[in-house]
Amino acid sequence: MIVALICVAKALTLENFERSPVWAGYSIVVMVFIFGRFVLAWCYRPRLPPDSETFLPTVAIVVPAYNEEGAISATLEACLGINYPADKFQVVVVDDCSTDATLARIRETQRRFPELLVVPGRVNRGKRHVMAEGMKYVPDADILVFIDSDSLVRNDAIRKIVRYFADPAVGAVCGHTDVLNADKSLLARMQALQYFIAFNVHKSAEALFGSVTCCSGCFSAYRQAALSPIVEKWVNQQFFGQPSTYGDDRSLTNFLLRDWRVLYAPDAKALTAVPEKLPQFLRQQLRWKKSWLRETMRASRVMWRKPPIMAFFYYLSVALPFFAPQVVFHALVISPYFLWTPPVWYLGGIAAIALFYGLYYRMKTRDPAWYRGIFFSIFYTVLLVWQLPYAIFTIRDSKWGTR
Amino acid sequence: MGYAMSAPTVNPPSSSSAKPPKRGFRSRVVPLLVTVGLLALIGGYLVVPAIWQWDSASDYYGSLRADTAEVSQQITDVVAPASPGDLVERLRTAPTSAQNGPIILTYHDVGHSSSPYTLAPENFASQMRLLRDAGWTTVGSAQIEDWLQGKPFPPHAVAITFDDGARGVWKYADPILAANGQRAIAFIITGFVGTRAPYYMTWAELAQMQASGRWDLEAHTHVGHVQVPTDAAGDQGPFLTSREYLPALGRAETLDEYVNRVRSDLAESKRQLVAHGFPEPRLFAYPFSAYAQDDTGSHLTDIVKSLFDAAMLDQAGVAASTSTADLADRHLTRMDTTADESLEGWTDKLIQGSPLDPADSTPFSRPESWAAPNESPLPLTVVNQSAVLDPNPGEYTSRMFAPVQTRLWRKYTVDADLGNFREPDDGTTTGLIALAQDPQQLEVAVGAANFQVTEGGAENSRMLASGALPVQVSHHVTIKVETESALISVDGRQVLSVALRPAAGGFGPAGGIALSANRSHVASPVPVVSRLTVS
Repeated sequence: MIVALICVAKALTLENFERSPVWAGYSIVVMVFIFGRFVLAWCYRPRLPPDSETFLPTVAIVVPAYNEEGAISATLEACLGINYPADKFQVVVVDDCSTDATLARIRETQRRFPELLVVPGRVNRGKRHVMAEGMKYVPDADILVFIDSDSLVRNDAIRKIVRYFADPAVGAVCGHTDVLNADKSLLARMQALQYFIAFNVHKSAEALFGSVTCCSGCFSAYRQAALSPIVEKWVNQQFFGQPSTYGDDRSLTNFLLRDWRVLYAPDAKALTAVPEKLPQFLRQQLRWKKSWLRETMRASRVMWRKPPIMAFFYYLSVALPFFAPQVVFHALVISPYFLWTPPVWYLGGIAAIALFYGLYYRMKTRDPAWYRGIFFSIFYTVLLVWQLPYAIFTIRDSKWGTR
Repeated sequence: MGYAMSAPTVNPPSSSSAKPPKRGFRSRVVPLLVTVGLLALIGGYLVVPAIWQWDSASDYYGSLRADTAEVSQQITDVVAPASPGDLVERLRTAPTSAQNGPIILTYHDVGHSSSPYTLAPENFASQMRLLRDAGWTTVGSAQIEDWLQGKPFPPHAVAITFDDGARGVWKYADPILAANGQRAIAFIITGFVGTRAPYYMTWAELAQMQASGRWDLEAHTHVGHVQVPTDAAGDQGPFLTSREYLPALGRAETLDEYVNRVRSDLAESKRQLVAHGFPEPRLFAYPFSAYAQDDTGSHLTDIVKSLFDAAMLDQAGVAASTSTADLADRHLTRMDTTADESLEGWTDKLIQGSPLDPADSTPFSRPESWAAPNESPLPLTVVNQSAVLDPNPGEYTSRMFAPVQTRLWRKYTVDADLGNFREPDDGTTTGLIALAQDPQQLEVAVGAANFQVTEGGAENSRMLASGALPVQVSHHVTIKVETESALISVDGRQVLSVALRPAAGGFGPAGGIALSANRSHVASPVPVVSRLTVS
């Protein structure tokens, strides 16, 4: 923190301001953006209604499954082991016509847990259709919880997450997701840090204004009453004449954002598996970028109604990634070329912020390998910044991008 | 696997097969156009601001750099009037000696300005033409380096130096030097090169000067040619000789901080010249001629000595020359040239700063060249080839011969009849001094019946020898200064051989001659020196 502050202070000398007001201004805005979200997150102390502890709505977990033979059993067992009154709780798994042994694994699990509701697919249709299909089997559930087929939910997570719905204005709540396989590779470790910051800080900051912009597909809960009016539109959402396949979570959140409060439940926890290898990771990031692009266009239309600070941070979060390629170009090409000095301040600033993230992560999670995660910032600067233009180019392509 | 990582084979909405050919054509062209449009959009999004960035950066940094690449027009048609014949003659016959120090003139800028440091181009041209017409040589850094190694300058040699690196040096001075076949040394403030356009010269101009072979470029600090605050009240002092006041810390810098700041600036000035392709500077000029003050003095001298072979001082207004005390610190004294000097005054100063050769010095024929111990002119009273010294009763007096022109005499013989004594203990002593003002100055004082040899000046003198003499009206004293010893004879008899120690810095002992006299009471006879010769 001190290192970061010194860097900021040095970078923002008056001389800098006179010479290049644009870049000095930019660095101030970035600092406000980065540290501001920490402040907002720190302010987020969800106050649950007094009856929330005894609030026990009917809950259904819907697990969409496709070619997940390796993880599906554990996912389902975690769901089925959840601590919630059995008469108010139902787990539905919908198979999307997997081409591997997923359905067989599901059936095995069902033999051990007969209460599991299995919906086998007739034809492969895509995640949104499968999720909507699952919803049809639990029309009485007050709260619908979506869990990815490779996410493990903690057994107290449902009790924790439904409490937030005691407030009738709440339409959706995003659970906290940590990375299951952080030990598997450096890349996974970096994502563990990124996930933690994204949830614990960014979503907290958004939740302070009831405006979480993306309820993660890994583990999120929705009010049936909020979903049913829009589920049809969501399933059939199109982009450039093609059905939207990925980005289901951000899209669904977007449908609710205008009329409902969307919160984040830091105490309702799940674990999810992240890509361990670079190609998969890049493809996933590209999909996220595209859905972010698509959904940002929609979200931008409602965000101005939110409290000014929320709107400010939101539009800033939209604008900054677009500036990023130019900033990197300026710091790594223009400045070194014309000033004949290495980009010490820029890289130093990134390193300082990375260290700040890392220390925050270390403080909150006690992960002894925290320092390996801080490479994410550099990684982001070098590689991911350049994905956005490519994402714009391929935005019409709704394929998942594996082949 | 799963949705997150693998690709569900989503059936695309039925397309191709059933469509008519025309629509097929359209369905191919439209996406192509969209693709091209998107490419253009993204290309524009990435490239246009990047180009804008590049352009504005090259504009901005270019505006800093453009000057350094710019070479301004030289003015080559400055006409110097014909040199006045009498000045040519006086300069041509000016004294010169192999026992010399460097004659160095300081200039700052040439051009049209009211500043006393900016000479009109015609004035500078006249001075240079006069030098050429009188057969004088201009010397550069190499000869100064050689001289520091012990090699004398050629006769009638002068070094022309320019401080700061102002534009007029390139614009006016360089063509004038070229026209006269002369050379000069420029002391450059490296951090100011190309700045404050058009005041300072650009690197490109300096490079052309270097390439001409006429110039030696030396160091005049990097950015240290400024005043720095010395206290909270806002008083200022020269960068090199002041402890800078640090307002953020509410104190003056420590000695370490001072040494660090000064050393890095001077080292940077060297580095800058080398980095721009110039030979490593070996000479330095102190800005403001500020070289020593209170506790920073010896530190500054040490830093400069560690980085350079010699450092230039500056004497304004009067003729000046380098002394052995200067040389102990590796300092060289220069004479400042200002815009208000007439060509005649400038010539006078040059002549007054020219070294006399011991053999040609004829001290009694130049009574006006003599000076008081503080070097202020004080003509000698010469009557019938004899110098009459007239201290008040109870007083000691001395006269130095042409100190500026004789400071670096190292090998000579001086002899004279010292006298006008009446009887032993008449209260009069008359002295002959060699190596005047050097720490090893030798004074032979005689009375009617005795002599005494002392070493050193008034403050730390040491008696080397004394003895009785036959009573005479005068005694003939000879001091023969050699490189390693001095021989002292009285009345033809050698009374002492003094070993001379090499001086600090390897220069000297050296110095000219002087006379001294003492009368203890009103009745004491007047001291008289006659038959003074130097060879």
